[in-house]
Amino acid sequence: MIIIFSEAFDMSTDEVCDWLAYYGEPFVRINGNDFSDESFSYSLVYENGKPEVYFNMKGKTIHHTDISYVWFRRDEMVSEPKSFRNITDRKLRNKVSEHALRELTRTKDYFYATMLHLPHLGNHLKKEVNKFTALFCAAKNGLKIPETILSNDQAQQQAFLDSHASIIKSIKDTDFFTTGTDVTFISYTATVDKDEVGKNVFPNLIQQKIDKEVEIRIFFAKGKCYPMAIFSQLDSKTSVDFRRYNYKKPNRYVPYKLPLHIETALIKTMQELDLDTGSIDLIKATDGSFYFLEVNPVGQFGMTSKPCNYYIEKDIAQLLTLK
Amino acid sequence: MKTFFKLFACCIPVRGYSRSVIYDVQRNAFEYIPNVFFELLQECRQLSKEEMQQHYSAEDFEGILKFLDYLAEHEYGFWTRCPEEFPDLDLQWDYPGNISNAILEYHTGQSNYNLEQVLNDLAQLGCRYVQLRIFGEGSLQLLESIATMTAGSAIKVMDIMMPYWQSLDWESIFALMRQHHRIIPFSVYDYPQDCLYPEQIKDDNFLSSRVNITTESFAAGNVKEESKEANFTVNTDFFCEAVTYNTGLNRKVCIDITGAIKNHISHEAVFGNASVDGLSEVVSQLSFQAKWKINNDKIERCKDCEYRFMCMDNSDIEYREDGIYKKQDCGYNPYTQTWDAQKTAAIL
Repeated sequence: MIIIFSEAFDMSTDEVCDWLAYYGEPFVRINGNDFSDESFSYSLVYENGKPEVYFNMKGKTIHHTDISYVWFRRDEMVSEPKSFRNITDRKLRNKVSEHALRELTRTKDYFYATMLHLPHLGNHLKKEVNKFTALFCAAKNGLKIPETILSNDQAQQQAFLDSHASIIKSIKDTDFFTTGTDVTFISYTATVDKDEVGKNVFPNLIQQKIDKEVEIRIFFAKGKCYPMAIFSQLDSKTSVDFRRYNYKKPNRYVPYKLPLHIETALIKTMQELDLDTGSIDLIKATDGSFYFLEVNPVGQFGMTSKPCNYYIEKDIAQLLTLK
Repeated sequence: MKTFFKLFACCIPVRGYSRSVIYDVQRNAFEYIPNVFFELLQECRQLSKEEMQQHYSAEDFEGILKFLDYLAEHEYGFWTRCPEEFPDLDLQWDYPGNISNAILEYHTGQSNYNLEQVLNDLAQLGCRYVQLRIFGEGSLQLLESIATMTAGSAIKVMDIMMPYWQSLDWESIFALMRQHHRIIPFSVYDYPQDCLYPEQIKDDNFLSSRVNITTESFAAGNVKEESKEANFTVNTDFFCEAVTYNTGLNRKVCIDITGAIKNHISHEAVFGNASVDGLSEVVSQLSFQAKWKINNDKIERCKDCEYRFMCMDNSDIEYREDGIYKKQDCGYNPYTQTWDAQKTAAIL
């Protein structure tokens, strides 16, 4: 029995499930929010020094010894249990609800932690990697990284900008901001000039701007790399951040073959970061060198699989059926 | 350092008898090129710009550069010093199911096969798309029972066509469609000229994309997905399937109103009857799948056509002494690059 921890709306999970059904492999998909749903029951029992895990989904009982593989695809936030709606005191309800969500979130984590003893792909206890840890690790393994500064000091930042043409990016992740009814702002990576740096207000993450030949996105799973080149520099709109999609004329996404020494360095980096899967961003500079930018442990792979015709969904289904 | 011209992996040149086409499977478009430039693009896989300059006269080289720069400018390709880093698209094709799509004709008064059983079998086979063509009496009850049969099914899309019926009540149908998202689209044919068109469809995005109404009649047994320019499909999935399979027949099953199980409704060959035979057994027979791999590359005339990996055609296939032919030629002549208006019209 294969267990898939995912979220309700995820095309990649749906597709992997289609392949598993086709192969006749029994699997159960548990979405994060199922942990607050009455129709899903679960127990983690610690007796005689040994943990036991039980799930019951749609009348089917699963004991951890029935589980051959666990895929931690994507975690999902739990929502307020339905019974809480009966609490009439608004303030009390909010407080109780917040507490309950924290308790439920931790409950999930305990299950996830226990299930790491089983053969697995991904890890919900490691949904994010510290950007600097990743950069240091990549550099240690022989990959180039852009010159970087994280600072709230105006003078330091200006000195950095004096010596490097630079970009500014989010410190943790991108976000959407909506004002009024229909205006949305997205925080994306952009070029930055010296006169744009404010006086000791909020920290900025600034990196040397690399003149790129191509951007490279690599989906990685269990030692295998699926690299894709993104020709974002052809379009001025996407040349700094390809997420500023040009819907009329999408960037060229094509299969890519990494030079062996780069692939080896990436595999070592992932090993040292203790990641068995993730999406890695690289830049190939116009001078031919490769720069490591970052890694996302729960990155999407559909956007790599489809344009490159890699059938990653099928490969993952086969990976999960390994005994 | 040598410079090479590379087409993007998603821009694939296909040679026809009298001209070639670059399929842009990512942007769903195509562009004609003369065959001599198809040959040139093959040469570019081996020869660098510098080598071509030596190889060709100054005048020819200038023309070549003009063409390649045109392709680069229109983002079909690029110049690179590292061609080995940009592999071709892997043209593999697969589908998680033995059947991917089905057409069922069902006559409420005459068909003897068990519709529910067939729909369950299709779901088991991995079929995600079913077109159900109802003949005889349409009714809300029938629509409701189809919705119940497929609730929770692996079938993702139920494309249902029904004849108009006297007591047709749109409100109940809309309510049902809002509950069962699999029904898409729901089409009513034989709609009376004087009957009121339900106004609420127009302002409703959900309904307007899901409801079709036509005053035209619709006959069983004689529907063919015609090949004409408007039906061309240029994308990765279709291209890769077409390179190995017959896109009009591969992983398809059809059942006509008598229950006859066929490759396509318009074909004569019958492989079993849904009222007595198990669908899974029938479609797994080698004879049932024999035409799945007869793609356009193996068919006379089609194999010379520059559109062969973008056209969808359900025509039956004939094995003659001198080769394999389509029973029904399409209206396009790849030798003269002309469309035969009469033939195209006959198909329509």
